[in-house]
Amino acid sequence: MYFKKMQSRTKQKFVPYIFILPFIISYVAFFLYPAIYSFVLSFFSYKGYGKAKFIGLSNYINLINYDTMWNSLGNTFFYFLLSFIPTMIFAFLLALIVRSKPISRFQSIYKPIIFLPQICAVVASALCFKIIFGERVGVISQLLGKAIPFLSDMQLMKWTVVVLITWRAIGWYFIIYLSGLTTIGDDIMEAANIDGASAVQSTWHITMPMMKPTFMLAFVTNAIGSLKLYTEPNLLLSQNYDPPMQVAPYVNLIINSLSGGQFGMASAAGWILVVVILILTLIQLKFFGGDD
Amino acid sequence: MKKTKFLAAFLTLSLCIASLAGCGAKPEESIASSETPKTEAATGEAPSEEAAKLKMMVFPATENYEKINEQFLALYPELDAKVDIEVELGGSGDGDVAQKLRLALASGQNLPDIIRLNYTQLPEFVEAGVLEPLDSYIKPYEGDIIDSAKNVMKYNDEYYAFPREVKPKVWFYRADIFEECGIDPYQIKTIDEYIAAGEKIRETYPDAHMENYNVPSKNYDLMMMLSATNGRFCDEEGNYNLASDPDVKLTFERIKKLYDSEVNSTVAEWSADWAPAFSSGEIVSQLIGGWFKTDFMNFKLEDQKGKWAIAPWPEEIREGSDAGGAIWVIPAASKNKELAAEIMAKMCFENDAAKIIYDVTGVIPALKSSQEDPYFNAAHDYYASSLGPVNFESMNYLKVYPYTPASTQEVTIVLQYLDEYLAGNMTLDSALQTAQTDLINQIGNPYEQ
Repeated sequence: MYFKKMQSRTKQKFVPYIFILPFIISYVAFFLYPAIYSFVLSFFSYKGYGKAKFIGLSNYINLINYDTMWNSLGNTFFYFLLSFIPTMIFAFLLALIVRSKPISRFQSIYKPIIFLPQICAVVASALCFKIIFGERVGVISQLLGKAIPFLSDMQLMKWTVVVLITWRAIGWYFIIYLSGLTTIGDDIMEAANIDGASAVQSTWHITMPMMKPTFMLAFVTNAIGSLKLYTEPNLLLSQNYDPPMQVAPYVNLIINSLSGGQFGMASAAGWILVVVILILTLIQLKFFGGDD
Repeated sequence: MKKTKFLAAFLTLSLCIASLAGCGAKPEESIASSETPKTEAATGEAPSEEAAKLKMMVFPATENYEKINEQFLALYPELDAKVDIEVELGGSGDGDVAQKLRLALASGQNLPDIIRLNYTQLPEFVEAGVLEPLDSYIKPYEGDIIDSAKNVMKYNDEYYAFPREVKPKVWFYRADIFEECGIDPYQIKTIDEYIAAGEKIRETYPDAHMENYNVPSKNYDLMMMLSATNGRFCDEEGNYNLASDPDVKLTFERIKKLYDSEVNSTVAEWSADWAPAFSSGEIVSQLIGGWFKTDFMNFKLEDQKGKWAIAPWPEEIREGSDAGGAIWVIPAASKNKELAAEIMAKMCFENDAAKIIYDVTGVIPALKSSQEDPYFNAAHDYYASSLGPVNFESMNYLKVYPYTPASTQEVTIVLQYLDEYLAGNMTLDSALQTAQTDLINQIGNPYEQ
């Protein structure tokens, strides 16, 4: 009897682990091991095949002394910060508008329209933006009757990327905010209304504090995604060849190292990015995480 | 609460490093060695009843070589009986293919038998000892190969590549406008004369431009101009010294001279504005590689048909090439390397096979026997002149820049500072000095990587 009980308890104890075992195995094999391996590799000179040579911290030191690394990191932050602010503001405002009483009954129309840029293939979006922002034959230049070098002037190139990223991202964060808003019960808003709170006051004092976890999720995922930005600027700014390093995001540095057969350097650059993202995320958690 | 924070931090870290997953490969398991055990297949003797399968990796599309292989094997039934060539896409450019090759070498899996690269990548793989030396396959044809083209096939004086397309420098120009303005491209010897010719054309056609060197610069523009000189980024020992190399300086100055001249257009190459600029007559000349003939036709500018002709570059800068050319290499670890080499030798050096390639791709062979063949010298359907004679003439001026195993990175770094110099953000000396510092910092010694 006792033995049977013990057997059943043991079974109970291990069954959950058996269920999550496939995930654990794939996590270790495809995520943890490569990540640790790349960390080890960052201390080696290795061209992807042949023998790896231990060089200590040289990859990290060389990167830190490489102006282009800081420039690329600056470009990434430029893309992140300048798209982050409008994305979050517009996405939240749109979610508030769509959730508001007069509009909410047309949600089924507005939601897909606002989300549409997100489901457009990024390649197709970038091609459309290339046409819109073409220097001479572009839509904007044609409308203004003046050739504006959106895709060849180093400063304007960066702004064009920001527009593309923001346009694509708003739909995504709109959905996140909309789902966050649905968690706020109508009774609370009605109570505020009865107490005489205006729409602005209700939003500021009730909706926004209650949306804090949703904001945090949006901010953190946006920061992580934006700092790993690669596709949009490369598709939009490349003209048959990679975009110039003056406007390239940080990930291009990693890709360039890989293309040059410098896997160790690429790994080190990757780990520097990990540290940057981690610091930024912890700062965000500190500011927006509160006591939760 | 502490537990929650710890969990949050852990999850955040996991998300952050997600991008690194997949970076690994086992150096110790690499097959980066030519000492592959010889199997039956490695001898090239496929079993009589079954054709050997050869994998041919190409870029940027498989279509052309599927057609070529089909026609080529029909031309050589004895090869058709013993081989089945599968064309595989390696990516959109040579960098993608090089990356795939590295991964295949690291994993020992899916190694193609024939790989298309650019000469730029050859030094890396030869230095690593992963390519099959091809002397014995090329020697029988050596007498028929145009001498300068041999440089595209060699590294350290040994053959390691078959030429897919030798890329001499070719000057495309509006024959009708040049003739109307009384300009003979063969009489233009220097960059100054080239600019003067442009100014003369502008007297009749005020909107016409001779070139469009711009920021961001194109790597082929830099390398074509640099290969006209003896300039190089590092010496033979791998010490970066471009800041003190007079020919690198001269190259930067020449590009700047064209960039600053009135005959330079602001139209960006490969942008949506480029093709319309040819149609509108804004661009009446291009100093570019021979490969441009196909790209230009792909613009499908019917109004330009019969208006463009080609000539060698002005004498002062006519030597050199765009990355030497496109090549085929055979990995030493390929299971069918002998058969692959036999096929590629026929495909690249036999006149009948060259005609098939010419028909499909427009690539003119680097063969002396083809030089006299009317097939390659006939009038062209699109261009105002035959392409063959000028291409063959330009091949005589073909010079290959001494690429290193780190050339891709070198060019990326140097281009950045060429842009800064052109834009007037840096002086020539500081641009070159900073480029040199970055090259040392990022690459060190290209031969010791």
